[in-house]
Amino acid sequence: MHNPFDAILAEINELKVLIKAAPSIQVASPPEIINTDELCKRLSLSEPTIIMMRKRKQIPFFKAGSSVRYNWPSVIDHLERCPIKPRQCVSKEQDYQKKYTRKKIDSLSDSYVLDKMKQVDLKNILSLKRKDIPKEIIEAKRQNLFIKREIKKQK
Amino acid sequence: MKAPERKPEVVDAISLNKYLNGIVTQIKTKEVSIEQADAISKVADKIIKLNLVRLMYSKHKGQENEIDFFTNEENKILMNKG
Repeated sequence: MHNPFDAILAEINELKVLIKAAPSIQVASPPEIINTDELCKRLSLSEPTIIMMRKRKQIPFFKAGSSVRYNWPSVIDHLERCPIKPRQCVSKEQDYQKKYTRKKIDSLSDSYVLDKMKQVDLKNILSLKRKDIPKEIIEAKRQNLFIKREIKKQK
Repeated sequence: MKAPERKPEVVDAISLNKYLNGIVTQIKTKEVSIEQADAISKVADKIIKLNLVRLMYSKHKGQENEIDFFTNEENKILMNKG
């Protein structure tokens, strides 16, 4: 006699094979909308860093009117996918030197300076420290600043 | 008739300081206009920059020539440092 359970078992086995063969279906996690404060708490980051990340498009967000909202699952998904860039190994001294030289160049941008710099190495000409600058010059600069402030006030 | 020759008010760092100090007070009392003060401050900036570069340049070259803009005492101290 034909056993009905055999037919059911055969069907179940077929289904199992089909399920295994089928590509895994990813069920999208339900949206969980949160505001900036909540996100700060969850990521344990400050608000300015969140804003900075938002500007750099490291965090997905959307706007409801004027207020900003985040979808928590998509935020995590995006952060996990983001490649972590290896930071360049720069010693503190090198970093300081870069800033220092940049400042010097900005403060001394003049055609005369540029002419002189062409003749001399940059490293040597920018090695003047604050100690070496005469006090009179520093005072003169300060007074010049006072004059500029007064001009701003009167304008 | 020839006009009498004017001696420059700013000769060295100290006189520049005095001059700028005077102008700060003159701006407050409105004896000097804003435009004049602006021009003076720009010129002062240029003088400061130029002399700093001169100092740096002489230090780099190892020249012992004294820079006129700084007082003699200062120059000696700077040369000793270098």
